[in-house]
Amino acid sequence: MTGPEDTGWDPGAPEGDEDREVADELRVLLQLAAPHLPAPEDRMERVLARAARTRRRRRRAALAGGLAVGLTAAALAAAPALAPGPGGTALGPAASGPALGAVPPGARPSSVPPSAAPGAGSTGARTVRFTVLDDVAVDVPGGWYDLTVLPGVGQLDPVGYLASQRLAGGTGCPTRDGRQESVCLTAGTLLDDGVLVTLRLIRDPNAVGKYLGEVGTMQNMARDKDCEARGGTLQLFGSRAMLLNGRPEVVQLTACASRPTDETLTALSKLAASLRPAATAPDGSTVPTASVVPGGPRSPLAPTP
Amino acid sequence: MRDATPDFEEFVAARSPRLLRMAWLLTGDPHLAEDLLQTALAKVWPRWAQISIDRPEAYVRRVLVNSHVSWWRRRWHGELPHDQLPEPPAAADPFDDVVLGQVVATAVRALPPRQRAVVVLRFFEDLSVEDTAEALGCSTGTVKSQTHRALQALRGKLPTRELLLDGGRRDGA
Repeated sequence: MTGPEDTGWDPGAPEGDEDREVADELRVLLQLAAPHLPAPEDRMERVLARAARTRRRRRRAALAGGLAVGLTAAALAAAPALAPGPGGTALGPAASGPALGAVPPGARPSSVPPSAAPGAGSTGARTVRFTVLDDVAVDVPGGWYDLTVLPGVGQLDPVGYLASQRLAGGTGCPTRDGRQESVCLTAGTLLDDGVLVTLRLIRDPNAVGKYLGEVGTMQNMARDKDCEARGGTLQLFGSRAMLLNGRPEVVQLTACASRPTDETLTALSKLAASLRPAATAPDGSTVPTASVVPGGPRSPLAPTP
Repeated sequence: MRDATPDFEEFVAARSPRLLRMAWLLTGDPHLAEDLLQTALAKVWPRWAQISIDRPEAYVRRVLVNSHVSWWRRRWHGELPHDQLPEPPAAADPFDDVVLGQVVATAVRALPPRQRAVVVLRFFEDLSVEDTAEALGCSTGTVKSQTHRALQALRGKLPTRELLLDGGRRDGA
């Protein structure tokens, strides 16, 4: 038997008819009941003031959280034998940003515009925090772009992207094989010495056990068709187990590069080694620092681990 | 502080009335509704440049709903969800706008916050099950079950369509 728990509206079932009747009335009633409230004249000013206060609070929290990051990193380094969860315990989805999966289609590229398209070996590293990837932080070379693709309907996990070139998302991307790409390189393909890095989470505790002891080194792997389509000449893979939101998880990192220099490969290794849990602000704020775009079809850029 | 972009200002000016009504349905209080709306807009503003210009309202709506659920978890509002909904005022005229609002708000407010959000998104915003699931970050099955439970709870607690029609005829007479 399939009840409303499984099927929602079921016109054939008594519950379905009754629900539909109440729903029809509710539609009318809610429209009638919700009042047209007056708007304060200074609403915009209040909103901007709130945003400014929040920004200041987060800045202070980030400073305070720096110590926590160091302690967490030290604790993980001192205890490499990170124990996975109890056998058979499913790791549920972590608490991520409040807007997970609801961002409308389309997005602009990363808000970090380099003056030129630098290679991965560029100096001036900065930290990117992927809040929706259970708050993973990673150090990226200066001038790189970041983007997070939230899961679309029926998809499970967000995907984080880092690239030495400008990224676009949603409607800013072309369609391929009849599907709108979730994320793409605005140049179309990787430039020489260009890199596109993909970050994913594995929440399976059994998988976590396999990756214990990994320190984030990158290893060659066979290029997949998406990397080839982007002009990649080399594909690398790395992973790292860590505690995220108090749970053992694995961050998988895949890099697709086009004729990378030694400097770029070194930078990639540093990037992989820098993967770590970000500090959580004391106020519990989870606003992602990485640019976010919605899901949709699974991005063809996202590798299948 | 940066000035708001014209896009954001235009969005706030154009869409706030609708969003405020939605916030009122969630909170049942005009002041809390305005507070909730401003909270949501303040969260959205720093990310406005990254938000698509196609459907920003969907994003704001989601932030608003999630902010409300978050409020519910963090704060005590003196409200408790009940299995038994309070009866509407017996002597009230259900076609008085104020009373109607109170009756509906009381009934909706008695729902747990997630069910309330589902009801508002599905039947006030008229979102599909899929869009509601996306807005709430849950499965379509959860939306369906929450909808069913909410409608079960609301059954008999709202003015009926017949009463509405009678009221309409009376008003037109």
